Amino acid sequence: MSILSRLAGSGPVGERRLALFKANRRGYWALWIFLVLYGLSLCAEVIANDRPILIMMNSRVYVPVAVTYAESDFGGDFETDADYRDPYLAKLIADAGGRVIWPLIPFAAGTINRNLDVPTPAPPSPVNWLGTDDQGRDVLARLIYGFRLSVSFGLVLTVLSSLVGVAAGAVQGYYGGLTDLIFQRFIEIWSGLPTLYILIILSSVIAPSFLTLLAILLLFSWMNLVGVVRAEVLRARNFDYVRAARALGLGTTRIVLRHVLPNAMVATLTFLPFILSGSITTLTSLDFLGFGLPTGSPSLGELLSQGKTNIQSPWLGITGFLVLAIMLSLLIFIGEAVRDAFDPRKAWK
Amino acid sequence: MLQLVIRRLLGAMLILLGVAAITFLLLFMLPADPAVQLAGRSATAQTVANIRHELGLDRPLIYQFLSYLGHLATGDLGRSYTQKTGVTTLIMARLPATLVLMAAGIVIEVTLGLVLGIVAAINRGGMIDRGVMMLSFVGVSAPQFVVALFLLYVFAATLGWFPMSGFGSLGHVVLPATTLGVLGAGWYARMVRSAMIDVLNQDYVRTARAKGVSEVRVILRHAVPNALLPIIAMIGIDIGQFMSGVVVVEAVYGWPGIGQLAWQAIQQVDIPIIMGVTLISALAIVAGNLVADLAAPFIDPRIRAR
Repeated sequence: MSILSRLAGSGPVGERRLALFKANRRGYWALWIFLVLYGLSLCAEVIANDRPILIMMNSRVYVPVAVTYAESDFGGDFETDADYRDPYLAKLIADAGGRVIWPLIPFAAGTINRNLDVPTPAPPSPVNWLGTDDQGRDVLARLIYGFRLSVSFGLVLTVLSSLVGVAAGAVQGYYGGLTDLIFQRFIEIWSGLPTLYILIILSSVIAPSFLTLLAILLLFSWMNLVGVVRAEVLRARNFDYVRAARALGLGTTRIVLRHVLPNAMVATLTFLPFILSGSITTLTSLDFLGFGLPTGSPSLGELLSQGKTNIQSPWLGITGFLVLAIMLSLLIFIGEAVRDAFDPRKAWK
Repeated sequence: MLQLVIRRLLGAMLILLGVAAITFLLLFMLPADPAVQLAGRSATAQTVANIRHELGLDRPLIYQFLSYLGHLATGDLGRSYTQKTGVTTLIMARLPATLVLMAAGIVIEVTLGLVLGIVAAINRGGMIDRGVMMLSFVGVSAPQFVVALFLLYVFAATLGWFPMSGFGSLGHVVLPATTLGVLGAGWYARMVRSAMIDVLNQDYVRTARAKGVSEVRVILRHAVPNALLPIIAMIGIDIGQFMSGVVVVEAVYGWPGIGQLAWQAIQQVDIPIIMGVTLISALAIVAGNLVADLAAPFIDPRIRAR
């Protein structure tokens, strides 16, 4: 939790903020639940995979999760990569007295369950806890990988757009005058663009990948912070100690980074959880419309769009709906707690 | 006042010009070539070159942009590559459906937001208040297409009260308009609630109560009009938001508006249509903001006095 206290700031104000944040039970718990969920999803390969964690056979230990073995390693005929879900291979290992330790969910995001005795999408069963989608892939496994992908994407986008946004706001606010005027007009035009159309146009033509999609969404998401940071910097640039720093001959970069920007930190920080949830929503919308991450990637938007096309299979839509709702609620609870904790009217009492 | 209006109008024109320039540049920097798309797979290089010449795509970019602006000044948005019709005609054919949807969405969000906000403010701190705040929280944070799916599933697939998709009768409007309105309703409920709580604590409300005005009249006649002010400005902004947000709703419900038009055009790289729809949406956004700015002094004499 030392990161938490670093973010809250030093001295009595920081302690007060941290205490306020912890006192908001809902926000504090939401943060922990979110961190645990994300931490678990980071270990997705060990939780949901179509390759066993361990195989002990002929007094040797195999680690299929991390190492790729050929079928012949287990006594098969071919040099091809071992397919551990193949009954033939399972029989080979069992006959040799081998022991197999499977992950909790024996499917990866792209694994197709070929042993279904019902047409896809299959309803929840002891094998596929949340059912399968219309291609026979396990919904729970896809959820875990999709959660990781969505949150990671959101986090990277949030960090990048706050860097760009803070930089743009700082330049505007610190230099003021003509720079500020030109920037303001530009932002006015930029926010006049119908965002969703432009996003769809761009991602329909540029082959979507994690990175291109990130760049495309960054085009618009940086604007979230500019206004606040600009206002804070405009206010702070004429503080006595900032003018003193200028009089002492400090460089502009140093003045802005060390003396001016810390004033804008609070405003920035309170925005972050909301930007994160906004990023995830936008990504999910694009996925839902089919203009998001490359086809086949596990994502909540894709699950929801399957829920729409297969409306007679409610487990798809309901699962996607619940997971998205829980994820966004957690982020908003965290956001509200952070905002309240940093509210000067409360922190100074 | 007139000076302010003129200044804002000029500013809005400049913003639109900027939007047109950026969209134009963006579309022509795309790696997709409409000429190749139109010519089909088996076309020779000569055919592609001919099509490109025919569409004027071989001329310098700045020339293309200026001639586009020239036509735009006369209300001509160019000709669709694939449908061989004027874009203005195409958009005008689709616009009414979108406008109907937007109007219904605004009606729903305002009614829902107002009623919920007032009820919550009157029962401040009680169960109803908490329920309404929870509901508005859900409305504000749920993505549009999730709301759409939820409504489809409950009211169309399970209960069968409304049709799944399409256009025509009043029943078709309800679900898409509700989807569009839920987000705004959440915001409005929160805003009306806090404005009402403020107003209900004012001296003149106490005076009204003290002189024996009935509670219903106090709320409807004395409190609500003042709580309405922030809402009216918000509606202007919503007009712009809806124009761009409508694309998801139209896609889910198969609503034949300009969102669907843009959707098809994007898949066929039909640049004139994409440009046209983008400009119309930008126009709605700018006009909405303008209305929001200019409406405030008309409604609130305190702003006008300054």
